[in-house]
Amino acid sequence: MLKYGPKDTCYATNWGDKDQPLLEKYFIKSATLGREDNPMVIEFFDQLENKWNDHLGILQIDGQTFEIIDIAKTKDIPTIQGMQWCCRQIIAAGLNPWRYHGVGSGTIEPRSYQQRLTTETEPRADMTVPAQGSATRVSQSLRFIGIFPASFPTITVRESAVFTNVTAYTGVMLNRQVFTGGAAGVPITHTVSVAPFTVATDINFASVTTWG
Amino acid sequence: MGLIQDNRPRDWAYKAVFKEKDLPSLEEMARRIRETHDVSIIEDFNQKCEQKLQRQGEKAVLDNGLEIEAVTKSGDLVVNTGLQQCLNIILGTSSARFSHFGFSPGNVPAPAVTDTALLVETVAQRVVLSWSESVGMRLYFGGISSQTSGSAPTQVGEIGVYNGAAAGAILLNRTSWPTTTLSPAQNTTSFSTIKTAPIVVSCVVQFCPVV
Repeated sequence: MLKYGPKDTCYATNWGDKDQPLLEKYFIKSATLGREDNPMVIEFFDQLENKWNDHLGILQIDGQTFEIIDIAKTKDIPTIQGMQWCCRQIIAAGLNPWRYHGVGSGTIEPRSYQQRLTTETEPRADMTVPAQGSATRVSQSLRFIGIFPASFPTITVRESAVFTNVTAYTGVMLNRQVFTGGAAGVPITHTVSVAPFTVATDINFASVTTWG
Repeated sequence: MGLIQDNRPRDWAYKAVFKEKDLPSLEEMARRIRETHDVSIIEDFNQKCEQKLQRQGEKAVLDNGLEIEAVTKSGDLVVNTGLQQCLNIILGTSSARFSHFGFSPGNVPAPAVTDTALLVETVAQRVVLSWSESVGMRLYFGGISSQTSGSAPTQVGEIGVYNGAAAGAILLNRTSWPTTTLSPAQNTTSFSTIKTAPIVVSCVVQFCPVV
């Protein structure tokens, strides 16, 4: 049995302790470039992949550079409920958009029927606020980035997802990614009042699988 | 080289011909779908088309009593620009939802993901979607094309769903059939005569198909 459908790739990233203003400035500027094929979002994901491949992951804003300290990557799945919501959005107006990025520390394996994170930590990042992230389209992908400030409670980021609602354990969940170590790398750990972290998701609706 | 698997949404469509007297009932069926969002009517339509295909020669009658005279099916492509428009709608950066069916007699070359329009379409012949609904991870689009109501090309070789009636509207998908005519054939002499068979096109876009 072969399952088609959107493919979801997610990165959880720790940044340096002085990088929060630069991260926020980066996405405030990024927001001025629109929400379709945004070059700063493309560059952001390129640098995440660079870091994952053991190269330097460096971003630049206003002549200042800042570097990815630590990264974890996982490939997971959109949920059935999330895809159904997308289909409804395509047909009918007035439905809540995908707006919030949430993280948690639950380790239960992701399944397409799940409707929430298992052990979520609040608050969720509001991706419509440029200093908290972005929600854009690049080619046939949806790209969601949530910025979690240094003040976010201490957590080992083992799961993340995109939601329609702001409150933990509520709203429709688009996808669920789990960072459990192994191929996904060691999950990143965030300590309150030290440094910010980001969670970035790419959901590709026209991915191509090849082997040979 | 081994498998190359494109995981984009799958798309297939039925093109069914009815008797000319059935046009008012077909339009009533479409009105009911629009007003009640009763997708079981669409599912019955698609199921009966499938049944007609599987059991050639046997009658296929819809739940509302209409008999399908002939049917063909084609599985084709959601194109890049259409998929991008879907994502724009999901994100809220566009509100131009899919609203029209385009018909064209052309069907060569085969659909490609880079297509942005039908081949030899007369834009004026686009029809407003008779229904557009979502069920689970599927999108259903339907259109009625009838020379009786002055809206059809003389042959239907390919169809596509657009987000507008004007040239330049965004194409969601392109479905083509190897033969351009159905039996009974559409009348080609005049739009004013009432001896033409209405065609109903029903298209399904599935976001997470399993094969």
